[in-house]
Amino acid sequence: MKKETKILVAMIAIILVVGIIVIFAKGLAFELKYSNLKKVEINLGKEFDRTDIKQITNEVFGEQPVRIQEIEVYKDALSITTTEITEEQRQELVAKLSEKYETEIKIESVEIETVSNTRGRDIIRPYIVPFIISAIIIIAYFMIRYNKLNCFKVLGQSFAIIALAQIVLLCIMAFTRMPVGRFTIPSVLIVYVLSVYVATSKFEQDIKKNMVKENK
Amino acid sequence: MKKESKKTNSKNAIKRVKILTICLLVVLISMIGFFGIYAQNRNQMSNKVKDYSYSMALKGTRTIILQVSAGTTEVVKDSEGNVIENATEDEIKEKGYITEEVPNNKEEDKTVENYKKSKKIIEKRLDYLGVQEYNVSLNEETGEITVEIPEDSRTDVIVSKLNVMGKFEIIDAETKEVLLDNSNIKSSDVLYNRTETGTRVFLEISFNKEGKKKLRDISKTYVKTEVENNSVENNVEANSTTENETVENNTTTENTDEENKQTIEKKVTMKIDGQEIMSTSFDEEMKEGKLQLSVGQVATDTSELQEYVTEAQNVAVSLNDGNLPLKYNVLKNQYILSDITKPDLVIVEIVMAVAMLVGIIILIAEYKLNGLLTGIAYIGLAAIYTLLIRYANVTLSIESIFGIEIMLVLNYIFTLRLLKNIENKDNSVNKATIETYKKFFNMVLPICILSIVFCFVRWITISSFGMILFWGLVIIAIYNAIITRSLLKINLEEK
Repeated sequence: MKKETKILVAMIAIILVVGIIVIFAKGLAFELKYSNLKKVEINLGKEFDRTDIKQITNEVFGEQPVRIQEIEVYKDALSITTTEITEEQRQELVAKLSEKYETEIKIESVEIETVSNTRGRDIIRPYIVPFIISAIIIIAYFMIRYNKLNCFKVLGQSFAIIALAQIVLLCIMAFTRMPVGRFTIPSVLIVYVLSVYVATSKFEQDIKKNMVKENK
Repeated sequence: MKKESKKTNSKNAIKRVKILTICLLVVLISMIGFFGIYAQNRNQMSNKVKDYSYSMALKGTRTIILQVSAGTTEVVKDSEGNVIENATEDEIKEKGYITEEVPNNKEEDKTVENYKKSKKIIEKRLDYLGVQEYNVSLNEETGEITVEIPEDSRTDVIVSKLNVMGKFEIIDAETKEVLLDNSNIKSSDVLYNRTETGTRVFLEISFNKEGKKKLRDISKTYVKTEVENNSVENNVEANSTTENETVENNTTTENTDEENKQTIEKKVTMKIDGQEIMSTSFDEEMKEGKLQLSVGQVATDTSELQEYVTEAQNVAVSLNDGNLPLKYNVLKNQYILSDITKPDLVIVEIVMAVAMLVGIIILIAEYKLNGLLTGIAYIGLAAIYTLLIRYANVTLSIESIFGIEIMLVLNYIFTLRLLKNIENKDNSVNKATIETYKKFFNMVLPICILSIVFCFVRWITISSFGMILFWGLVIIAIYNAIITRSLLKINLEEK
């Protein structure tokens, strides 16, 4: 085994061990959208600037993650979603927004709503079948294209590369506390494309090596 | 010597003109692709180039909150506690019926199981309605369901289907006995039949094994029969007063050739969500376990046809995946814009542009003029790619933005390989191009397979990713063969 390969294997092993420990100990982190949340909707009656709102929410909610969204196309109403909203925070928020936009927002009109989370399995559900189908077709292609390399070996190796790449991504997400959210699926897709490319390169190299051996 | 030098100079001039022409063409395409074509439109300058279509994550969502109904419904009952439907006020007074407030949802029905079942049914309805992207979340404590769907011309129709109970019943028109219900339905679909006069729309309800048997029995029982006048009179007299009235309602007397014969029609009534859809008898035995109901008249134009199709689909949606175990009310129905704004997307574009620029600088440093020419071609490819995405109606999602990045990286790899091969093949551009194409597409063929599979998926984020990869590979194949190769060929071979 080459030195570079040894380093790579060691790195992957460390990532896997640390990742698995973190998953069992702490689980995965979820983005705001995929957690149980509290939300308030406020009608300002006039157009607002996101930066101003962000400044106010930073003052009110401190380090809590906050999502600000405009409601309807007139952009005069907004929705603020965060992990927890206390009565004091609601009052402070209403007061600060009233002051900033010189409008009287009635505290009773700003209700704290509970937003239920989207489950992790619901996020990945639409992707499972396309992933499996494409993986089967690609592995079948590898087995036919590189049949000289022993098709069962190709089957095992290509499956291992594709699966290992996804597991490594999961472990990296776990120990870096990168939250499961809107960038998870794009990351999974990129890693999938990358793993397919790596597998193709590997088999191409193996074929070349075989040819060199045969020529010798 | 002078003649030769003049000839070389003129050849060089032609070469420069050719390269310049192609470069200007690339610049023009790049301007259109990155900035657009602006023209005056009602005192405003508007971009004539088609805009991108965005997915839910980038555009916004229609958010619908469905709440378990806590309301009541007024029900009219007779003295024996039987529910009387469509009773008029006069009837209530005359017959001493009692009106009662009945809760829409019984307390014992408000269970986590029913909440989950409702969520599942709503998801299936969204799938059936062809919604390509949605989020459904459930509050297991209150049963509140939050649905997020894309905002388009169909959104309102889809929203109206979400909380339809979909309670299907075929009952005896006379005794009100339930003969068939949702548990007997396997599926329902919308069918068309084209005739010379127009198109007829049908709603086909397919029944499961038990339903098929029941339907067969019903179709043999609920038919038109001809009987002697005397026997009918006897039968009618034998019934009680109320039944007499019902029989009268369901009996049609026809003047046949033989005056002493009468046609008795035993009817069934089909109800959806308590509303009577039709009352009919059967002309023939239903052996197939399928019921075809004609919707509307024969449609002669598209709008009429669309109206009937929508009507049929509305019923099909509510029947297909069972009825909601609970009645839901729409608590909120609002359009919420994405928290990813246009300035955020501009930042992404700038990052990508900077990355491209760095890549081009590396190309120039490594391959000098060839590097510069391929760099210019690379920018042109990116511009054409953005135009193609727009005109091929590819929805832009976070996934597809990542797909664009993958394709730009792949094109960079292609360019590097091409330049390297040109160096190895003693500046023979055609030979180098052929070899690069062979090796490159051999490497990306599995990615091509992956992209084609993803293109056929109905879920928009994955299909958009597939389409982005597919069009990217197509454009790499065509564009480089025409533009990049031509630029390099003119530069290296025309001396």
